[in-house]
Amino acid sequence: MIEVKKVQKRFGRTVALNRISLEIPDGAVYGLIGANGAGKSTLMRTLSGVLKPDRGTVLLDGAPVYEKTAQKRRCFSVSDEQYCFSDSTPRSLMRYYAMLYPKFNTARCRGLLAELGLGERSRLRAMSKGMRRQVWMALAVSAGTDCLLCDEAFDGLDPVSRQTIKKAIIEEIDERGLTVVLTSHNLFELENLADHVGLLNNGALLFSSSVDEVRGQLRKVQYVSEQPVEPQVLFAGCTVLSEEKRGRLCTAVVRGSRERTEACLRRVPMVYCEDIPLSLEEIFMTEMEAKGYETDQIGV
Amino acid sequence: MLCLDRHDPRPVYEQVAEGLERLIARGVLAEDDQLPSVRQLATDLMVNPNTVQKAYSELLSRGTIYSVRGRGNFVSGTADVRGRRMQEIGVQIEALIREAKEIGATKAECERLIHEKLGVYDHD
Amino acid sequence: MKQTKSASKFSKLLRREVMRQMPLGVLTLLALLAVLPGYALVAIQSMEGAETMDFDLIGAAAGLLYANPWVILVMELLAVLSASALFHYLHVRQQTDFYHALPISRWKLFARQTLAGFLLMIPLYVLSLLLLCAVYTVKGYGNCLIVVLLVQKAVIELSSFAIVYAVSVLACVLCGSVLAALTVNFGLQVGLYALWECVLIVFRTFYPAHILFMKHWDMKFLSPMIHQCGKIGRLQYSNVDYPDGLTGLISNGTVYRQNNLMRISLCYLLVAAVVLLLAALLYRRRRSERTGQAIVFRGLRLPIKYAAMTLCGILCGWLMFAVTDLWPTLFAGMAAGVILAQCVIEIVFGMELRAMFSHQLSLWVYLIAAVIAVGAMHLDVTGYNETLPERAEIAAADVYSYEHALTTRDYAGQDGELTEEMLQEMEGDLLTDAESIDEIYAMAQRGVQSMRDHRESISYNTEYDVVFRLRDGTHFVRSYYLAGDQDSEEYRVLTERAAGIRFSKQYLASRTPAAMADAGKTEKLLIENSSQAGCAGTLVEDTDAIAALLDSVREESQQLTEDYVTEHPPILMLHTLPDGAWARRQDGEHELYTLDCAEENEFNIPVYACEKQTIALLKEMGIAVERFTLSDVQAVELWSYPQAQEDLTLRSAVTADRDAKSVQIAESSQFGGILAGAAAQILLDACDPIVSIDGTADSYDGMLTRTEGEICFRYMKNMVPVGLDQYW
Repeated sequence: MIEVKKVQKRFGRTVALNRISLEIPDGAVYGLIGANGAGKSTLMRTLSGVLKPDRGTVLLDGAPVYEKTAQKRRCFSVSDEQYCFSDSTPRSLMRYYAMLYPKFNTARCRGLLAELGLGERSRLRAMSKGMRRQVWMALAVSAGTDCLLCDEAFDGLDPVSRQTIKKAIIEEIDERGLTVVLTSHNLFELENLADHVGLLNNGALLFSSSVDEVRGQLRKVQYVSEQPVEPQVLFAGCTVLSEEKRGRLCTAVVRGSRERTEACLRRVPMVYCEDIPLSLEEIFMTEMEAKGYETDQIGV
Repeated sequence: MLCLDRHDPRPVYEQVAEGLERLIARGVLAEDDQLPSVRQLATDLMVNPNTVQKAYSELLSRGTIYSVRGRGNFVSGTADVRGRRMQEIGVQIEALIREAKEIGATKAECERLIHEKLGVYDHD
Repeated sequence: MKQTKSASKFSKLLRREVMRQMPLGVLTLLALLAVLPGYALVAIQSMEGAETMDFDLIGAAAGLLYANPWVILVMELLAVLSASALFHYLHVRQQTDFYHALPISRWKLFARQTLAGFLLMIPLYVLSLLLLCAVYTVKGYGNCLIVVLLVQKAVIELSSFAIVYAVSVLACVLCGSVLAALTVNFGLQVGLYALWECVLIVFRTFYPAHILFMKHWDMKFLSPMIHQCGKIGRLQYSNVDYPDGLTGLISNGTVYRQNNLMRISLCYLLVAAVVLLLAALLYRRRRSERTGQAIVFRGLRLPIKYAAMTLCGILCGWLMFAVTDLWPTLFAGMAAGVILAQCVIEIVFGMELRAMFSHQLSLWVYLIAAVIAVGAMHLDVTGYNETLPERAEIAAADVYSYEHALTTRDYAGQDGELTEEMLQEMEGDLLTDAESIDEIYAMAQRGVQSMRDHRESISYNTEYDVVFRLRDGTHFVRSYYLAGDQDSEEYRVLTERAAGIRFSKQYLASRTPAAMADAGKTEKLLIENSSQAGCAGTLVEDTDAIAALLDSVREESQQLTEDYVTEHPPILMLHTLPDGAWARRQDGEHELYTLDCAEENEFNIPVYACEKQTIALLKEMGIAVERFTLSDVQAVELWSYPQAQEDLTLRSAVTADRDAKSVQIAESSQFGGILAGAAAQILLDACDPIVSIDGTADSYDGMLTRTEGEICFRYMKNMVPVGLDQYW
């Protein structure tokens, strides 16, 4: 389990990470989302042991990561602008990482590269950005580590290779209980793969929870009641995140469990009442608006 | 086989479990048929295998499936599943009837509608 | 099991890193091949092709092998290059992140990169050295190759590499950008020493009265780059120090030992190790995110900035002063330099132009401190330049100057600045009679006055150093300067004071050549008159005769006075020769009258007409006591200086007389008349300096010819023969 406890990181005057706390359970696929400059890369670099937090700690199964080789050996990190030696080929990188990561599975990596259609001896510098990312993801998945940290994991990948990589990740999770942390600009790329999600904005963690919880938490209800009643009143006991009225038709987004909201609805005789399904993006936007953020700032 | 609805507010593992139950109830998966492996299903759906594992655990606890060590998961009897499915269908019928009532349909209209639709399937 | 695994892993990664740096390796190899065997090939070829007589080919080849400063320079440059290449990743964010995310501890990472640098250099160096030896053997200079010396050469050259490499690595760790690393590296390699020298410049400018013994303050070792190059380079041009030539030193195996080069090199190796350790410790603390900034460790910014401001300020001030010669421009230049440095440094740190206006507080603090410090020095707050002890406090004194007319302390063969050994010798043996001290005190007071009047331009003038011993045993040493040049009244007054001292009883009894000559150490005595000076003369070898003569002249010389010697020419000169000096002179290896004859107990003693006892002794020995032996003279050339004749105060030493004319006289009967009142220049130089200043005439002089050579002569002022103009 990865624990981040009140981590703070400053670069000069700017606060890149502002007392971030979160927990990533074993076997989770954690999606870290946020706009450019929100602090995703900084958090990833802190998790991988490149940066030392000014305050707070980052623990991997209870032990800190920074400057501890044994702990670092359990993580493989791919950054958004991953550097490679000028003459590296996938083959030379495989050999290099095999030296550093004892459980590196060369056969697996070769298989993946073949599946992705990438030549083992072609130079990385000559490849396109997307192809390079594929190579890195192939290496990452084959590294045999307990934990995988990928910044902008699928950036620039075409849908086919994205599927291949995701399949490989799934296989690894099934095989040995891998924990994955991925960052992305939007949820679309991650689709259903991420079962936990965290939103960063301006260095602050706006929320972090499992996707199921997020989904289950919010409901959008449209209703027309026989007697006009305000959503705030109707859904007393739950939090009303947003409401809209058009004539007699009220639309409200409510945070609360399904049982509770249904109970509220049954209290008042309704002419019409309907549940509107919410996509994850809509849920996010609503949460943000409720907190007072302009959604275009977040870039979700 | 299964597909997941992104807008469905229910947890993913619930959707998976329910989807499998539906298949079992329909007879797509017969008694003692082997269910797809966790990995296979996870890959098909592009979800975390742990989620699939959770769904399978749920079905195991309900008794819908049973597991054989080293071989995988298999479908138990379909009777319970059917029963549950009928219950859920009943809930849905109730919702439809309510909606009909809201638009002012009478009980007679509703009954006529149901009989009509049933008649379509009568010659089965 | 785990140990060997991680060790083999480390060596594998190390090997990989070395392979990765192939371009650097190729460059290193090419450079070493060029400067070791390549340079040798070309140089030997040109040496053999050159047609110079007496050219010590073997010595030159050996010198090329063991004393080639180019090798040191190349290795130092390669060191900077290696460190910059191997630690380049610390200056690019992506690369830093990449390396620091890997499961390698920082110690191992640092060790790997550092070792890679050594692994790239050492084998290639050994290879080049072996090829160099092969070149020498093939070309026939195989006997220059001495294993011990070759090993020492390798140690010296590799230690130069090691120290510069270590400092470069430190610079790379301290900085976050390539430009900053190069600048800080340059600053550490050369700037520290430059800073020290600048501080000394300031000190010398404001305290000219202080005698700075360079031996103490020579801190060249602050810049290994300059130090090693310089030391090796000096080996080649050391004919003066090594009369047996370089070959002798090499065959004795002492060439490096003489200059302490081995000890210095081993010290540098030690320092390199310490610096690398420091760099490793700092690397461990280095924050990955600071890559991209100029200086990684915040605490270093201000010291670096202040150092740069000091260096730049002093250099600008000194430059302005040197160009304009105006005192205020020194201060203006300093201020300008400080502000310039502030702007440049802030721009480099902030990486944008607008940054030059930031951190102004530190600038003001520095400026205020600088103004106070420089102001204190300029105003001479402590009064160092201008205070003198009370006359009553002074127990003994002496004055030294390389200007012989001003000195009361003659160091034969030392025609230069006061050294510490000389000072120690002086302090042990000063003049104690009251009149001498009075004169010296007056000279010191005059010096203080000129210090007050124009301290800024003073060091261009003639210097004289004053030493006082006070009643409480402490010493007071200052260095003063003439207010004017040698034509001035000032100079005349001071020379007269000094002359007065030199004719005091104490001086005449202990410090004149006559008083100091030791018969016991004299092997032979050469007696010459004005027509024999430097060419012929009588050699006395009988120890008793020598003793008798020297005792006599010592006793009688104490009766001499300043008035007497400025009015009477010396008749003869006694030259005391220690053991072997005469033999060496016959071999042509030893000059008798040059300043190089700093042999022990070698003195030139003039004999005057009033020293009757000595003259009687000489006559008894059969030596002709005459100023000129006219029969030896073949011809005389006479020179006339009309300008000096008109204006008797003119000094021909200072003005070149445009109307000077000469004439050759071959008529032997005329020699006697012409040479009356004259004496050979060489003999006159052996007398007290006041003779040449006050005693000789500038209106006429000449040169006589004899079979062995030519001898210049001059007239005493009051003894110029009448009617010399008739010869034209």
